[in-house]
Amino acid sequence: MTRRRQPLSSMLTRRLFWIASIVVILNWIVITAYYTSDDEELEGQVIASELGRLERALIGTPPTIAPEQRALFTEHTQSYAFALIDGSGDVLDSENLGMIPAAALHTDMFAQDWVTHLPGNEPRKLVASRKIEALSPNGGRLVFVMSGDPAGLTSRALLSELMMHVWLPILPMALVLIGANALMIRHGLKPIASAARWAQNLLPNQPAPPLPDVQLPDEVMDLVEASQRSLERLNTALAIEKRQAAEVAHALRTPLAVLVARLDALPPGEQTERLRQDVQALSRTVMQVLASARADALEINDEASTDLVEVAHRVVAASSPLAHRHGVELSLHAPQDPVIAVAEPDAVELAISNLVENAILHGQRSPVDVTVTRNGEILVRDHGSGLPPGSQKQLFEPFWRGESAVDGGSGLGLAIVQRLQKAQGGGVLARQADGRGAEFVLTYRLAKIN
Amino acid sequence: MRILLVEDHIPLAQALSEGLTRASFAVDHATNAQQAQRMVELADYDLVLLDLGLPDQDGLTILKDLRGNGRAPVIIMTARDQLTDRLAGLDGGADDYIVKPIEIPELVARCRAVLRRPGERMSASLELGPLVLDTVTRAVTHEGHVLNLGQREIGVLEALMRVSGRVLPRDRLEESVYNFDADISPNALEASISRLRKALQQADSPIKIVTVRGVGWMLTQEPSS
Repeated sequence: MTRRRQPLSSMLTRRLFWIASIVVILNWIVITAYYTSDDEELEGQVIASELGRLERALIGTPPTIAPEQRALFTEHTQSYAFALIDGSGDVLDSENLGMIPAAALHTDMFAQDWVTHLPGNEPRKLVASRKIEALSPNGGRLVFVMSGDPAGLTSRALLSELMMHVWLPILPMALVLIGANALMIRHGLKPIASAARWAQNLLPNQPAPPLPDVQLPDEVMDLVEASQRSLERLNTALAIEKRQAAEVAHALRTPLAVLVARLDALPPGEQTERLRQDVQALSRTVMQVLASARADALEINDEASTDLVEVAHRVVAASSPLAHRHGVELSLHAPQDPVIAVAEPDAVELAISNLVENAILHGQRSPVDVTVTRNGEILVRDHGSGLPPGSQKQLFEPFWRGESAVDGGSGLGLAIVQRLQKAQGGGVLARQADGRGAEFVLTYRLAKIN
Repeated sequence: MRILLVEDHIPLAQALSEGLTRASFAVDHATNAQQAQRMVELADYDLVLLDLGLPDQDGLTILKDLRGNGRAPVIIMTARDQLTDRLAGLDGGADDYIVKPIEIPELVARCRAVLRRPGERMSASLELGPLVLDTVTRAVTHEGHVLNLGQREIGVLEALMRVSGRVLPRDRLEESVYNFDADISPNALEASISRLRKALQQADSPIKIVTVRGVGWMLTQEPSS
């Protein structure tokens, strides 16, 4: 199972959102617990809010409670009651008056603002009184009675408390915090994003690209420096490996030269001839390893230019003695004018000579034709039995050798050609030639003619 | 013919010396650049075989000194085979450039080819197997019998013999045969080659002229069976 990739900034924002949510919920729990553990506090809130509501609903002369504010009392005749009493103790307006204890209506018996629980009642019965200045000149009171709470006034009071103490102060704050943090995180992560883009451009065999043009924080800088160091080590290791391959092949040449020179001193005969062929095969392999190391190290710039005709001419001339020894007729077909390609002369020479040598050695003594076309192709074809069936893909793999391969081949030749072509932005392909034989095509980018 | 072999690898120097000695060259051996320079001052060499990777100096840097002294031709013999190296060697004044390893018969042939070149210590006659061309009298003999050839054919044969075993490109052959000669018909060269082939065939010669189509011609000596 692969984990979904997600940006760090959205991960942090999401966590921040969770933290804010937990804070809000905790706050809510604490406030609820506080109020539910203290009934009187909440009842005080209910009374204050109901008396306030009734007082605001006073209309007319003599004052009465507006009809639309009486619903609570008409719906719950056994649970809620109010009475509006003037200074002389007359009831101006009331609802469910029977619930109100007579004593509560006597203005002179009590102070004018009070709250009391009537003992012995189940459910709890609450009676409250408030002085109303609007009932001048003699003053007056509003009396409110609540028995049980079927309309959920207490819960509503709790909700409004929560609203006052939780939602209003904390929620906007939390939102602002989340938003601000998200912005800051995004901004703060910018250097990491640019460092990541920089790291994506790190390639083995090439120096590290220039650092991103932003101030990198210390931690990111550590990471960048560590990456730079690893790349340097990798490049050094690659360079050493390449150089070693080249050095080994180079170092092998001299003893090989001794061996080849000493062969001359042997008396001619079948054994000597066989030995000579073995040494030639060894020699070819060493050359291929050297060429392979060189193909890896090939660096091509777009200013490099090569006349394909000239190089093909040179390779055909140089390969002719070998072709002649193997009874192969080698010919060149090229235009009179130069064909200039974006390529390294050395690499072109190496590629053509590999293909020509292959054709001479594998073509069963059939004629070999090298053709240079004006559109930057070099074709090398023989007229032998063609490519082994199904071998097109394997042909270019290092160390792959066909069943009919000559003794002493290293199997590196075509792999080298492919690497050379790739490094130069060209290509190589193998196909059956029209009629008989195998044909290899090297393609090059033509140089722009100014 | 006296050859100076400049090579720091002793076993290789020995093997090459022996091979060249069997081919009737007299070989002196220097193991470093300094020694080589001293030896060129003391003796008169016909040819210098120069390795580039010498312990004290790069062969290329002493190439001019070696040449300047006695007009001796120089053949570079090295493990460096890249085009740029070869061009640097040839531009630096070397007469030929040989990449190691090389078989003795080819080395001998290359030495002889350089020694035959005009302006150098040219011997009066070119030889290839039974074929002898006297560069002074312009006479060609095959196993002692004179071949009747026109001056143009002899010119072509001389040019081919000087590089024998290797391909002589068409343009180079044209230059050497018809220098500043006016009025050359396009297939005059083919006609000369054809006449030359016929003459060699009539003499039952193992020497053949091989056409490398699109490039040039090459003189080969078929093994006598």
